[in-house]
Amino acid sequence: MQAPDSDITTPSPDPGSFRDWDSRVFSADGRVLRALTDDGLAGWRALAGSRLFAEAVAEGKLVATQEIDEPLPGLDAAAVLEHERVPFVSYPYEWPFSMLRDAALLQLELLRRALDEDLTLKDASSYNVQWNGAQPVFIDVGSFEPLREGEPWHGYRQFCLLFLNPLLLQAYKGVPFQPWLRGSLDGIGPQELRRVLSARDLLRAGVLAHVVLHARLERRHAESDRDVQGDLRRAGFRKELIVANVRRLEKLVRRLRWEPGRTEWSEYGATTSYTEGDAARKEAFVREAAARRLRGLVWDLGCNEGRHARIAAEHARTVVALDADAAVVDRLYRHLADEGSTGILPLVGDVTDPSPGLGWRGRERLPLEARGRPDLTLCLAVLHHVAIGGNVPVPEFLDWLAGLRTEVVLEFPTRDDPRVAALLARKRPGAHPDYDREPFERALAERFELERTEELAGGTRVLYAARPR
Amino acid sequence: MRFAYLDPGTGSLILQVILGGLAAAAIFLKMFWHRLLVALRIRKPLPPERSPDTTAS
Repeated sequence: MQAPDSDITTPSPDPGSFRDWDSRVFSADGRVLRALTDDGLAGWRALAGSRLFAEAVAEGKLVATQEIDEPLPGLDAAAVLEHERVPFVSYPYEWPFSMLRDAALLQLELLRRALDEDLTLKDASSYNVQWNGAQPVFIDVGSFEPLREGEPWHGYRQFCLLFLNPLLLQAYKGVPFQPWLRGSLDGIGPQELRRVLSARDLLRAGVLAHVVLHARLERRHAESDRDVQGDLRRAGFRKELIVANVRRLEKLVRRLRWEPGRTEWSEYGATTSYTEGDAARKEAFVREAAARRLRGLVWDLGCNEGRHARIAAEHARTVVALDADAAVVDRLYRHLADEGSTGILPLVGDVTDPSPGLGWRGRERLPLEARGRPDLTLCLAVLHHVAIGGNVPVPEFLDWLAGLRTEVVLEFPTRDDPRVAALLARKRPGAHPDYDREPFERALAERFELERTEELAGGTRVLYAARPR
Repeated sequence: MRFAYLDPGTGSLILQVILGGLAAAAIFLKMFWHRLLVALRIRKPLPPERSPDTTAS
């Protein structure tokens, strides 16, 4: 290919994209680019000419992608693709149950539609799904390739490890999958999940085949050097078998439910201690700060039911709404998904333990703050949880915020606040003497330029809007 | 055959045939015909260096 001189300067390899040599992602000048080998190019050409590609991109289910004529300096690529950038990268260990379920359904739908046109997906990693707000979008265009005669579904095992097994774990055992996935980037293996399941669970949908039998076959053939793929092809394996498996998996996954029960915060919106007047004044305070200008990225830490994230979203391209309670995040996601919202990305996460760098060299999956610096951060009704519940000293927390160079809207609940008193009551008398309004305001003023303060009528909550010094 | 970068897992591939149910019964029989005959004592097991899987019953 004769290409014009490139405008692209120093492409840097995406630290999470190196496993598939045929198709690797680079970033340059804020653009997301993909370098293809000859084999990768064959896959792309097959996809680009398909009905699936045009339709799925139009439906927002597949990332918008085009082949570009600019070469990547220093790289001998057969072709270069450019992808639309997703607003904020997130990982499956930050998603609530319903998000992983919907991501799984997207993965299966795309595979089924690909098979229709004699294409397949070479893998089935949940990391290939990202989000436009509450809408899942499949980003790994390099996964698609032509289906070869007699070929089985290579990604089936990975689908089980990174989609199905985490969902089964949470749906059937009530065990949250997020900590496990955060600790194991390859996912949850059939043999591991098998050990967690009881005899009663064996009767539940999907368990016998995808977990028990899968675990047994995996153990039995672990050392096998048999050419099963060749055997399958010679024995007449057909794509109809993959389609049937995919359809059954779609039915199974669609029926999976997680019933979180009543968690501490899932009822918060209904039982909040604010008077109606105070709640309205708090909203007005947030609106005033959020509406000052259009922000690219807003973080809402401790988003709860998402009331303030919604206000911020009116004046921001993307709001990342974070809460440690997976039940409230799950509910917020389902509301947003029903509304077709694309401006708010709900994520499960604890402010005092934000997602770290993981994987190869600790850079394959990036820490939360390395994925996009917020222009504005809301910390409403969260400081007392950080300082008293999480034992993170207030000045430390403010240091972290100041390091993000973000504007902030903070709410300080005083020691007299019933919720603060409840947290303090669990500690030894006199604990957290530094948690008080005066030292907080001093620490805040050392790090931020205070713009506005308002004390709510209840007398135990104070709001601050501030910008970095 | 060109291999994908991902190891599909031998057990996981065999499971896909089992999941195929009746439609895949013929494929399953073809793949395991020899072992079936051995199990029914119609045919003798292959010598160990040729046996694809030593855990065969």
